[in-house]
Amino acid sequence: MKENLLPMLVTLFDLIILILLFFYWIILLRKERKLREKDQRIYEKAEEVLEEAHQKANSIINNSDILSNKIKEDTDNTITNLVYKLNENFDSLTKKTEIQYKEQIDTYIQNINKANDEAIKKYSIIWKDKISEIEERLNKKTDEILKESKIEIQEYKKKQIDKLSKQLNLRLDTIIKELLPKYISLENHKRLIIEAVEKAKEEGIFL
Amino acid sequence: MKLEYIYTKNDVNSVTEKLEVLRNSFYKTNGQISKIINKSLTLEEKEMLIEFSKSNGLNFDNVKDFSNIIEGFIKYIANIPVLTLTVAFNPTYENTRNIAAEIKEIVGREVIISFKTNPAIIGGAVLEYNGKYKSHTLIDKVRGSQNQHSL
Repeated sequence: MKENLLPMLVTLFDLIILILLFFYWIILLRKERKLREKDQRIYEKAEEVLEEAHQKANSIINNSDILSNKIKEDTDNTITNLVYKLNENFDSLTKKTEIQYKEQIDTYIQNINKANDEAIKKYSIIWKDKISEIEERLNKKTDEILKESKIEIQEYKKKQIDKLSKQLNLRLDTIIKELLPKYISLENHKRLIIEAVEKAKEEGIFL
Repeated sequence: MKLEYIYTKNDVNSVTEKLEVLRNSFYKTNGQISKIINKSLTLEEKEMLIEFSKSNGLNFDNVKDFSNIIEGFIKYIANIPVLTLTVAFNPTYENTRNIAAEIKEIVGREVIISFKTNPAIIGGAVLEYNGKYKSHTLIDKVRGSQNQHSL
């Protein structure tokens, strides 16, 4: 009997463990079922929330479309008004600018004409002065050339006269040297020498 | 001292030459001065030497002084300023002496005249004295009048 006790105890123990495992399995199953139920509830709740959010979103979108259309319409109106006003202002400004430009251009033209007149007057005075100056220079140059020409003519005349004079003097010298000594007596020679010495003395040769 | 008988450069040369001969031959005369002087010099030249010795405080008859008198006289006449006269004709000896005597009177001091001849001047004279030059000739006058006519 003792020999059978141990296997019997082991079997019993196995059986107890098996029973325990069975209970544990049942507990786990129950927990799983509870979790599934919880998940199901969460899913349902989420679907509800999503549905509600969807509805709200649709409502917002619809509202926003309406608002957007209104804003668009207002904006269009505003822009149209603005464009109209701008056009109006632009036209007015253009006209005004055109008038101002015209006036300014007229003023410019007047000023330019005035400046031109003054410049013409100024330049005509300058030109007159320049022309007078050039005339004066030309006259001066002409005078100088005339003067130089006269001097050159005079010099040429003088040279020619000198040349003739030298030739004449040379001939006269020859004649005088050949003829005059023949007509000077010894007494006259002596007198001329004494006169020369007296003149030289007067001129201070012996001082 | 006034030189009465030396007028021209030729006179100076002639007297200097005579005195140099006299000086060189003096030692041969045994001190007979008057004999050799009378033989070598003219009376006028002798008178000039006597006057020169007097004016210089030397004794003409003293043998010792005589050599100094000759030396001094040669030096004296060599230092008389020379007036060079260029004339148109070639004067004779007499003419030169006459003209020179008159010129010495005009100048008023001792002067030796040296004559040069240049017929080209025609008449008058060109004078050179102590580096100064004056020309008073007939050719100058003729040329002067020619230039005046040219101008």
